[in-house]
Parts: sequence; structure tokens; C-alpha cells
Amino acid sequence: MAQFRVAAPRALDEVFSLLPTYGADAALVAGGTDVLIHIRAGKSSPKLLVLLSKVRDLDSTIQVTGSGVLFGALTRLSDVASHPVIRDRYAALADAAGQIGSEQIRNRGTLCGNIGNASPAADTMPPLYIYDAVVNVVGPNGRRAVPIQSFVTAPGKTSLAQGELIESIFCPCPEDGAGSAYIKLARRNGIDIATVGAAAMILGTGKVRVALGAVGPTPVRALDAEDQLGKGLDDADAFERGIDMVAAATKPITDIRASRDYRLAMVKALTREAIRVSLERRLTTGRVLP
Amino acid sequence: MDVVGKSVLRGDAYKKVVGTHEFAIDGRVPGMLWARLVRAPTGHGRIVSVDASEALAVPGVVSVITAADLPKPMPLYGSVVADQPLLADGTYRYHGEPVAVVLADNDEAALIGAARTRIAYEELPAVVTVADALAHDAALVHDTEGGPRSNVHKAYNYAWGDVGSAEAQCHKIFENTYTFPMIHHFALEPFSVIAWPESGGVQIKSPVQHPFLLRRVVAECLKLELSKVRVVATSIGGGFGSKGYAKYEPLAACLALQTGRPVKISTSLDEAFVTARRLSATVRMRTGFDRDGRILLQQVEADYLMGAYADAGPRITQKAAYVSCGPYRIPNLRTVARAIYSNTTPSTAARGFGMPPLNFALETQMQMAARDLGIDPVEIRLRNLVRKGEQLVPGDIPADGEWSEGLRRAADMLGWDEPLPPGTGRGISIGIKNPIPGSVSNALVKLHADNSLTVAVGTSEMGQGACTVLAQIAAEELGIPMDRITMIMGDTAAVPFDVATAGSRSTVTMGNAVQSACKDVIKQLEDMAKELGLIAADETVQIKGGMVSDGQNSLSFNDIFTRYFSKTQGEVVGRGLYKGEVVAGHPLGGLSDFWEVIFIAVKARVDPATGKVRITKMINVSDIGKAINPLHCKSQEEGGAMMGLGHALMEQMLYDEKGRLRNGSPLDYRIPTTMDIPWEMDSSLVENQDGAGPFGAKGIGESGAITAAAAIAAAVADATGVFFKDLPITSERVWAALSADKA
Amino acid sequence: MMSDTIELQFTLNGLPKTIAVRSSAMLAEVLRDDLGLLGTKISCNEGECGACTVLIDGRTANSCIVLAAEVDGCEVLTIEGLAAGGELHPIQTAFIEEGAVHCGYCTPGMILSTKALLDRNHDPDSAEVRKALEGNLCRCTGYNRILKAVSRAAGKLRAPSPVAGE
Ligand SMILES: Cc1cc2nc3c(=O)[nH]c(=O)nc-3n(C[C@H](O)[C@H](O)[C@H](O)COP(=O)(O)OP(=O)(O)OC[C@H]3O[C@@H](n4cnc5c(N)ncnc54)[C@H](O)[C@@H]3O)c2cc1C
Ligand code: FES
Ligand code: FES
Repeated sequence: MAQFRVAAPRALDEVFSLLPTYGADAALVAGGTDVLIHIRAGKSSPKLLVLLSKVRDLDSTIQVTGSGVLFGALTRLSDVASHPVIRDRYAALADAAGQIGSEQIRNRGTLCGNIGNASPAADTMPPLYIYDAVVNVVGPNGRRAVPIQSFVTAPGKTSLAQGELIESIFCPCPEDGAGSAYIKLARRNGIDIATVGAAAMILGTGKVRVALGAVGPTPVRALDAEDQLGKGLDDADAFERGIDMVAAATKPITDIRASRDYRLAMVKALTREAIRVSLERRLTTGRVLP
Repeated sequence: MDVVGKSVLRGDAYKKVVGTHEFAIDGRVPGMLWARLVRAPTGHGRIVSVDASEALAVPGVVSVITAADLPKPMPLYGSVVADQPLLADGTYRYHGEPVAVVLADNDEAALIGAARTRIAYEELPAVVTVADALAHDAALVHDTEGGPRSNVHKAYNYAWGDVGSAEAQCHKIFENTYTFPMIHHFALEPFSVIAWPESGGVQIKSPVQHPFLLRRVVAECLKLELSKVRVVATSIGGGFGSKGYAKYEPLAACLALQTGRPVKISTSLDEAFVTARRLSATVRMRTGFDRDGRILLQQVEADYLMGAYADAGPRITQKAAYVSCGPYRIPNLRTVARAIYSNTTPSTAARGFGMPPLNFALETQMQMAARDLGIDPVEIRLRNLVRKGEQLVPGDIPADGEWSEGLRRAADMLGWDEPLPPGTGRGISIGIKNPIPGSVSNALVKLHADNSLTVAVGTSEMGQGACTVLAQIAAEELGIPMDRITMIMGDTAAVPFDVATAGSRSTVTMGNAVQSACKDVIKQLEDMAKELGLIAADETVQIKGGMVSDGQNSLSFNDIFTRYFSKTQGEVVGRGLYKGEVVAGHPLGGLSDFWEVIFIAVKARVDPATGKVRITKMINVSDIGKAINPLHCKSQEEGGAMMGLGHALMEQMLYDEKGRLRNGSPLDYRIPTTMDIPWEMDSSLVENQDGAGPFGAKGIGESGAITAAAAIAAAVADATGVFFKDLPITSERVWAALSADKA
Repeated sequence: MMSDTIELQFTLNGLPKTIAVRSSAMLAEVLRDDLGLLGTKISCNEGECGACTVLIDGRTANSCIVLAAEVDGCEVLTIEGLAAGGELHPIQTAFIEEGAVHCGYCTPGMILSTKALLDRNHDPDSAEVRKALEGNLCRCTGYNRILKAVSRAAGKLRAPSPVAGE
């Protein structure tokens, strides 16, 4: 029952001149795998859809540089999941992107769309949190960089101002010898939204980073717990205290997918598993140099 | 045999792989009105008013019809009890019940119109669980003047032996309560029907499993003669029972007659969740065993929760409870099953017709007994399984197979005695079911002048392969190649009566009808040959490969045909009838034609940290008598088993206390994907030519869905030491049970 | 640039196509209603089931949630374009031979997802096949025969034969 019009601008300038006319009634479309579903479900009813796919100035590639990787506004999830450098050095992100929806969804859906949608269960968010990703925002008045942790402010809400859009996402290069993983639990193994998602990274120095999805209004980076977990890498009791601290940092709810109690327990179970796999990867993965 | 027993490739597959196969949803008729439904917002309420003004302003919307615009009193429909109104009339009784219908010149206008039609309503208390429905102060789903003051529609009792005096002999009695959730069929093809006025009556095109039953229901509802209702069953994009009984067809037919135009009612897949579901059930079961694991008694109280309208619910309840003994020798039995109304989606037939809840309960009892008495789960079943020829349900046909063979084979193929890795368990179970007792199938077989054949049957093709298998039977019988056989199916104006495409019955019952129609053709050819003096009148003749011979002369069908008629005239029309055994006073109306029996063995791995269950291996074995088409049989087993896997691990419809369905969409209702099926799966068929169908065949089709959940539950119990009595066994439930165990 | 109808130019099943459509139309609607290509099935209409799968520039997409406007300038392959010149594609024959087709409602989508997989991976293992098909629901077959059909098709396509591949 689509009651909207569609614009397919070719340049960013055109986007910026279109958006103000419609204000909050305009929606940006990258892959559309969220936008169109929300419209279908009656959760939103924009009057104008602005397709980003034909905008020349927006990029769909993954650029690997000495300092990190840069994902364009149009970079698709399937490309993120299969890119050799991402699989090697940003394994948690490859894990997450590779488990979003189905191949059909990953072929259309973008990384920027996944964060733009700002769902508490967005799979790529916890990995982006542990890599300290930076969101590059562009608007009619120029560019600014937003740390990933302040990008999503509430379910469905971002810190983008009206008229702004995500131009790219940058992930700084994790130090040598780091290993990371994302573990997703859902009601079934194929195509499903996360009941809980946990990302972890072990740095070469033995530092630990942990971030969780679907257990709060926004993803949670368990900063307080990370030190404790680092100490716990060779002290089981200390480690378990760290795991408890991770759980304490989350605020899960009960919904049709799971109860609060189960989610809390799964925060612990998946964090343990994510750390275990990260450690394994730290030891085993050979580096693919940019 | 040349054709039977071979995995002949499907006749309908070519069109399906190139995309030209037509489904009802693809159908368009000139001058057609598009209809979309406006649905009730909660589980139970009174309709105060319907405001259609905004909808009528949508360009293309022709009218918005409510109960007030339909004949009075409101026509009711239903196959068992006519209790379902075409549109909710004053009161609505479930979330999603059609309250109004928007007719438009195009589908988009109808959709927008439906979204803009507003219903003002007053909520009434809704009953959504067995407990709600049975509470002493429960709201009544059908609160009619002079009607019953209870939500229990009917109770069905079965008993034999003497349960009371058997108690004392029992070494151990297991008593448990099991719950089986509401399950949706989840056929991929949404409901869709086109109806139009035709020769003083109405024609209905719909993907319906039982065209003749639909014809009767529509005729009764709209007060038409049977001959004035023509139902054309289109090829079905998945049925599993959901498309068996009348759904939107009576409304479409009524609107077509009222407007004088073709009307197409389309629905989304989301709407399928408020159209049909499987009956949920609460089963209390007491099973008493002697020291050696032999069952001495069983008591069952099964409460089947129907939806707001009866649909096939009472029959399902009655029929499932009839076989509450499973495949086992139970000398003393008492079963009572109740069919109960609730303010939920009307429940209808679903693969296994009421058996899965009872099967899950009984097989779990067996598993518990095996553990408790220290007997291997295969062995305890062998001790109780009836032998071939032994009575199962008193008064019905005896066991028609040596079922221990299938059980042993399933266990062997699984590697029953192999050591298991940690966290892994094994489980085995047996499913049993009878088809529709005392049922009727007719078939017409027409031999044409060019030695090609038309087979006309009322069976619907829904992916089970009936069009191929029935043609195979005719090909074998007459020696006519498959590619010269054309199947005509499911058009009540063109094919003779058949009761239903259900209950795994068609290969046996319609197969028999086709076979006897072919024999009728042969008999006629023989008579013609004798009349022409081509074959000696007193000789017995042999038919093989399209030839009739009496030992000396050998004549092709065509020779006889053209000499008898001519090259340009005539047709040999063979008639075949199969009629199951009707027994006066029998609770189900007659005897079972055969027993459908399936054995499933499973290995499952359980992750104690998350509670996640993975099926690592699954074996399906069916006692099939004779596989007319082995490939079809195996893939029926597997399809059924994967549906059962969904029931076991993830599927359930969830309601809130207002009777609103919370997960009525493919986004929130989970069925298995390629990632959820067993890592390894294999199937096998036990063939002893001991079935009641052609060439000794028995039926298959519901098969795996009857017992896969029980086998999986048994494997999970073996892996964890915890028996799960409530389905689905979600990760959360496993985790909760294991953590409770630890605490 | 912005109006209620837009003109699309794209390649459909190997042939250039120009068509004016409502700008809000989904690709599946255009294929089915405007172009009469009913082989693309609609089931869930929300990206969950894969019945509407088509290939856009060689990659699978759920055409029920792709705006038609997105395929301007792209190559689209639907089930109707697979059997070139009436000769079945090896994937299609493999599906028939393995009994992977039951009701047929999921079949066009299943076959196109298989094509995308086998185009990029000539010898997928079972885990890769399952992963590639996770977005194609089938309620009839239980998937086992479909997995067998995919490996049979892969075998056919690897075998040097005049009909193999495209
Ligand atoms: C069947 C199905 C299954 C799914 N499964 C999962 C899953 O398992 N896990 C998961 O995390 N998600 C899942 N999703 C959601 C969705 O696919 C992802 O969130 C995807 O990454 C969205 O990307 P997109 O490009 O399609 O976003 P779009 O729908 O195009 O956009 C999403 C939001 O981001 C905004 N946006 C997009 N690009 C920009 C930009 N450059 N600048 C500013 N705003 C922008 C849009 O305006 C919109 O609000 C699923 C969706 C479907 C339909
Ligand atoms: S119809 Fe498009 S994914 Fe289901
Ligand atoms: S064959 Fe029916 S859904 Fe797959």
C-alpha cells in the first residue's frame, strides 16, 4: 500500500536539496531491507523515498589503508562478510555481517543501513563497538565524525541531524595479534533476528573488549568489565567476576523471542564463547596484509 | 512391473521449474472485482459500527460489504457444524476474523480501502487457553440463546478392558501432563479464491484439497443444489490440511452471486495465520507398566483446543483419540477427548490430524518407562508393539504389517548402539494413524482411439505427487506409457466424486479406484474382442503391454478399438469405485483402510550453555507396503519429518490475554530453514506388499509430522536427562530446565 | 527526476527492456503485473521466504522488497530466463531428477539461489549449500532432496558437456 514517491538522485547535492522539502517525511534508502519492511508493517509512512544507490559520490567498496578500513555508504553486507581482510583482521564484523538475514538480504542490505536503522538487535553494531569504529557523516553544511558509541541514541534513533547522512564507516586497524569474534544466538539457525549477540576482541597486549546486542535499548560496550576480563584471562575466578560485570552492564527485556532471565544468562554464555573464539583466532590466524 | 515401484519423475515438475505453472493467486478473470478483508482487532468483541467512508473515497473502491449487506439470517458454513458466518455478525470471536470486505477494481485499491475501513468495537473477555475456556466463569465463545453454557463442544470416550482392576498389577504408573502448542501450517502459497456466477449457480476456483466437500459446504451455506456449484481445485502451493476445508470460498461465492461479477479474494501470508491452525492440546496421560516394561493400562484425558469455529476440530479430536493406544498392545484403556472452543484462529486439519499431541505424550511415556525400568528404548517398544494380524483397536482391522522390522531398521540405520559423543542423545519413536474410515473414491479412465488415456479423479495435486502416482498405477495396469496419460484433477464438473485429498489416503483409495477403472477398461476390451470373434469366448485372456491375448491370438488395444468402433469414433470408459468399509454404530463410521506407520530415530546434541538443540542425524522409515514411487515416498517422509522438527523445536502461535495473536507473521513465527535441518538425514521404506492399496501399497504423507517431535524430544531427554513435556523445546526451555536441575 | 511514474531501462533475461512503472512499485509487482512474468512467486512479501528471488547483476535479491526503480541499468534474471531456448538449465533438470520439486511454490526462488551459488562456487560443500539457501523457505520437501539436487547440478555443471553452464 505504498503511498510514497521515489527519487533517485545522481549526486549528493541533489540529495541535500531534496531532503529539506520533505523534512521528516523523507526517508533515505540504501538497500531498503529495513525501510521497506517498516513501511509494509505500517511502522512508518514516509512521503518520499530517496534512493542512495544511484548517487555517484557514494561508495560501495571496502577501502583498506594502512590505518584501517573504510566502508562506503553503499557497501553491502555480503561484501563485508566475504572480504579477506575483514575476515582476517575484523573477524567479528565478518561473523556478524555473514549472519544477517539471508544471502538475499545481505546482497541488498548495507553496513551503513544496519547502523542507520538503529535496531537494538543490529548484528554489526557490537563488532563496530569493539573496533571503535567512527561514523563519517556528511550534510549540507559539511562533514563530521561520530564515534560509534554515540551514534545510536535509542531504538530507531541516531545522532544524525535532519538532512545528514552516513558517508562511510571507518574501523581503525586492530593491533597485531588481536583476535575477535561475534556470537549470535537466535531462535533458529537460519535467517533470524538475534535474541542476544556478543562481540569480543582480545588485543595482543591481553586487553579484552566486549560489546553486546539485543540486551538494551542500544548496544552495550561493557567497559567496566573489560579490565576485569583482561585480568581474568589466566585466573578463572577473576574471569567469572568479569563475566558477571558484563551481565550487570546490560538491561535486557522480555519479549516474544526470549525472557529477560534467559537473555541475561546468554549474555554470559555468549561472552564466554566470544572470548574463547577470539583467543583461538588470536593464536591461529595468519595475517593478510592490506 | 514396468512403472510401479520406479521413481518416475513428476509430470508437473517441468512447468514448476520453468515458472509457468499456474497457481490460483496468479489467476485473473475479465471484469473481476478484487476483494480484501477487514479484520477483527482483538480476540472477542462486539462490533459497534463500521466506518467505510474513507475507504469508499479511495479511487477504484466499488463497495465495502459488512454483515448488514449479506443475506439474513447470516449464512453459516462448516463441514462438521455450520457455525461460521461469512462475515462477523454483531460479534467477532477471534483476532483476524473477517468483519468487512472491500471490493475494488484493482488489488491496490482494495488493500488501501481495507486499511482505511474503521471498526468501532467493544471488547469482550477472550478465552485463549484450555484453562481459560474451562474456568467456571469462562466467557462463552458461542453465547447463543438456548445454546450450551460451556465452551466444551463435544467429548469423545473410548474404553476397553478394565483399567481399575489392572492398577494393582502395575509395577509402575507414569502420570504426566503434556502440552502441544498452536501450530500454523505455513504453506508458502497464500489463500486465494476466485468465484463467478455460472449457469444459474457459481463456479469457484481455489487451491482446495477437498473440492467435493467444498461443493457441499458452499451448496448448504448458500442453499444451492450440488450441481449448481462447480469447484475447480487449482494446483496447491502447499496445503498440509490448511486448504482442506472451506475458508474464504463461501464468502467469495456469495459475493459473486450478489454482485453478478467474478470476485477474487486475496490474502497475505500474514493473514494465513488468522485463517487456519492446528489444534493445540493438553494431554494428561497415565500409563501403567509391569516389571518387564509391558503396558498394562492407559488412561488419557486429552483437551483439544479448537479455535472460534468448529471447522474440522470435532472430527480431529474424535479421530485422534480413537488411536490413543498408538501402535501398542494396551489391554486396558480409557480415553476421553474434548473438543473445546476458544477465541483463537479456527483450527483445522493439519498433517497428522490430531495425532501429534497424543503421539508426543505416549512416546515420551515410553521413553520414561524405558529409562526407569532400565530397558532399552527400542526393546521396550518391541515388547509392546502389536504383531502383524494382531488386534490394535478392538473392532478395527488388525495390524497390517510386521512393524518390528521398521523399528529395528530405523535403529540400525541410526547406529543405535554406537557410543555417543558427550552432550549427545539418541531417541526413537513410532507414529501411527489411520486414514478416513469408510470413505469413497471414484475414478474415470477413458481410453481413446489413439491409445492415449485420460484419468479423471477428484484428488488434488498439492505437491504430494498424486498426479504422477495415479498415472503410474494406470500405466502399469494398462501397459500404456506415462507420456500418453493425461490426468484431469479436481474439477467437480469433470471428474467423479472423491471425498478428500487427506489422511494419506489417495494412493490407496483413489489408487484402488483408478486400478479398478483400468480393469473395467480391460474387461470392456475383452468383451469387445470376444464379440468381434477375435478371441475365443471361453478363453481367459492375458493383458500385457497394451496387448490382449488368449494364448493364440494377440491383439493391441488399438486393434480391438478400431475394429469395434472406427478410427474416428468411440471411447472406452472405465469406471472405478473404492468404498471403505462402513460399519453401523462405529464411532468413526467405518473401519480403517490401513495403518500408516512411521519410525523415526534421531541423534541430537544439546549445548548446555545456551540450551540449543542440534539434530545431528535423523532416520525415517515407513511401513509402506509397496512404494508406487519410492522417491516420492521418501521425500514425503522427509517433508513431514522437517515439519515435525519445527513443531519440536521452534513453532508456536502466541496470544496475549486479549486474544491478540502476537506472532502471526513469517517474521516472528519460525519454521525450519536449510540451516536447521539435521546434518545427516536418510530415509528407508519397508515393503512387504501387505497394504490395502494397489500392488499392496499403504499410504504415506502425514508420516514424519506425526512422530518427529516425539523422537526429537526423546533424544533431547537422553542427552540432558530431562523430559520435556511442553513443546516446542526451545533453547530457553532447555536452558531453564538444565539450570533448575543444577540449582 | 521525481514523479509518480519512472522509466526503467534494464536488461531482463538477456534482452533490453524499457518500461514506465509507478515509482513506488516493487520489482516483483512489475515483473508479475506489468510484464506478466508470473514465475516469480510472492509469498511472505517481506523478505523472509525467498519465493520471489531473482538475480540482480548476478546476485540474489528478494524482489518483493526491492523497488523497481533500483534495477534501472541492471541485469535482471528471472526463472523465465533460465531455460534458454526451451532447453532446461542443468539446475532445473537436477531439481526434477532428485525429486526436489513438490508443490513448486518455492521452486523458482530455490533454483535462482542455486544458480547464484553455483556461478561463484563450482563445488560447494553441504554447509555452503545450506548457507546459500537459508533465505529460501520450503515447507514441503524438508530440504533434503533440494540439497541433493544442488550437488547433482554442481556435478553436471562441472562435467564438460555441451549443455553445461551458460
Ligand atoms: C528478512 C530480513 C531479515 C533481517 N535479518 C537481520 C539480521 O539478522 N540482523 C540484522 O541486524 N538485521 C537484519 N535485518 C535488517 C536489515 O536487513 C539490516 O539492518 C540491513 O543492514 C539494513 O541495510 P539497508 O541498506 O537495507 O538499510 P535501509 O533499509 O536502506 O535503511 C535502514 C535505515 O538506515 C537509514 N540509512 C540507510 N543508509 C543510510 C545512510 N547512508 N545515511 C543515513 N541513513 C541511512 C535509512 O534511512 C533507514 O532508516 C533483516 C531484514 C529483513 C527484511
Ligand atoms: S515473497 Fe519476497 S521474500 Fe517472501
Ligand atoms: S515445494 Fe512446496 S514449498 Fe517447496
